[in-house]
Amino acid sequence: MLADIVIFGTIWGAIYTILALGFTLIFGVARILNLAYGAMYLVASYLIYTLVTRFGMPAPVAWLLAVAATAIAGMLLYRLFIFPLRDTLGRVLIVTAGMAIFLQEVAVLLYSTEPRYVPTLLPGSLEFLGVRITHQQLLTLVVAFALVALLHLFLERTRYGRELRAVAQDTEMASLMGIPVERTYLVAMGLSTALAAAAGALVAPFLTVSPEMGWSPLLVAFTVVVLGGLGSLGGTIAAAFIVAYAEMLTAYLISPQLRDAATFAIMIGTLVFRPHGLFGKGIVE
Amino acid sequence: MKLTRRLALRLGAVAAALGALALLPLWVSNPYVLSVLTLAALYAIFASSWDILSGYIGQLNFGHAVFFGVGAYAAGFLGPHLPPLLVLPAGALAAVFFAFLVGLPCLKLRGPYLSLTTLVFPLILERLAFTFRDVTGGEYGLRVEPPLSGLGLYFASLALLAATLAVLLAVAESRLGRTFRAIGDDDLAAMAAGINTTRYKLGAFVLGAALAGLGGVLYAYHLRHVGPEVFGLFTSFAIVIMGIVGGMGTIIGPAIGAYFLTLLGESLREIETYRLLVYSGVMILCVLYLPRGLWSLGEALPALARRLRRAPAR
Repeated sequence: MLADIVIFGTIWGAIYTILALGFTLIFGVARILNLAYGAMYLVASYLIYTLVTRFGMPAPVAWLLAVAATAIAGMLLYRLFIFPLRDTLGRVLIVTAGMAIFLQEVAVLLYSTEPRYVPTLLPGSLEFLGVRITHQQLLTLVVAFALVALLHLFLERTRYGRELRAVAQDTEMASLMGIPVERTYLVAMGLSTALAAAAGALVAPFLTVSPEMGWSPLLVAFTVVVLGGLGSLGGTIAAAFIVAYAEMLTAYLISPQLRDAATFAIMIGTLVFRPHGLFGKGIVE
Repeated sequence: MKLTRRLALRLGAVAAALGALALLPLWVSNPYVLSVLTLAALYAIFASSWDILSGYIGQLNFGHAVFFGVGAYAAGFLGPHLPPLLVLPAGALAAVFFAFLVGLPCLKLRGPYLSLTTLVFPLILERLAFTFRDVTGGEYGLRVEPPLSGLGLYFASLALLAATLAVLLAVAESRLGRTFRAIGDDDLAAMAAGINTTRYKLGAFVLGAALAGLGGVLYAYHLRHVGPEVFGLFTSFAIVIMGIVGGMGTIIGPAIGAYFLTLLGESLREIETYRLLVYSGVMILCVLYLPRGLWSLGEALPALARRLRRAPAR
């Protein structure tokens, strides 16, 4: 059982890292707390399901197409609904919550509440320390780490990445230096949704796809961000793995139904006792 | 507390509207219609009691379901053992206990952090209700035997709604309500003016929770059942949506929003499964185009009437 906890904790930790990175990206850059973030994960999963099972597309093509389409949808939602309200954090919160519910109910309308299954990219499995790991889960781990590395390179080495970091540090100064702040927000939103979509695409094959699947990743991403703080890749990764191992410990030692409750307890505990996160650079002013 | 003209006007309007609803059974005896109206009245209690913290102090509470859910479970646990008149205060007491439990950790937080923290409290209770099934009945929940007939429950809900609105309006129009608003406008400035914001926030939590807890008991009687879904994400969101569509920070507005959305949901019965689709769609439109809700339509009426009256003089 210890091996189960360590192995599955590591896989989920990697997934939570990408989820949380996407969530902090838009929050750090544009101060938008996007409650529809989990809905993007949902949209990507259903897109893959539709492309593969109804249009018979080869899986890798469907995966890439779904992530790209979701990113574009995210930018569109930003433009139509978040942009007009951006100055009031409370109304952004409300409208993104509304979008999350709306998209979920659209999924109910189109696909009913019945869970759907997405075929794996890589069939087969292997045994390691007495634990059966599917190839899909290994692939998830590898892709997650690759995405983190790519995001890091993007932020550090490219022009867009530098602009994003400048706006996150000081929006006004960045704008005075001639950085088109509005475009940066749009780029951040696109990247953020792409990461949510990628996470959805990676886990869809070993979870079922169902309309309410978007809430858990949203709350996990928020918890990881609260725990790990903003602007530090190391902090986010550490927090993601802490949350994942805590969830696995709860699931295996107490009850699988209380897995989410562990995350919620971490969120509340952190906000109350360490509002600045584990590493001091928290998001709560 | 002074009976200002505005307060008198609003109380009068509430009394007239609820009086009309109380007379309705004279003409309408269809139990289905009365049952829908009972549900609307209960949602109105939840939405207006939500408004005192969310609309006045401006701390968007995404987890109001904790309070009426706990009231409903109190009816489930205690209903078989206590006389009905004691179950009501027990429900309120349980809700107040949870107001401290949720309120104390949330006092340090504001804005979105408070909202997301309040969001997870009912989810934790939902998971616990699922897990500890020998106490809570798990996903099947508990059967609740209502001590009242359907008609009796209709009147009880209206009476509780009347009391809720009267109490909340009196508070909102008093010095206390102005203090709540001051904290909502700018809590740093309120603190600098010597207001103990912590105490007032906790007070608003407790007041809203107590009223919601009472409503929760009636809610369980109405459904004849209480289960984990009362703590579900959408129970809480439905209240937030009603408050926003009706108009936050007005007490009456959220109650109107509750009636409007409940009746709208019922009138679209063939798509009842998609109730939340309609709710969230209406809310998004409201946030974008009618940010102060249906209430602001009502406020626009006197101005419109004045303009019409002035027009012929020209």
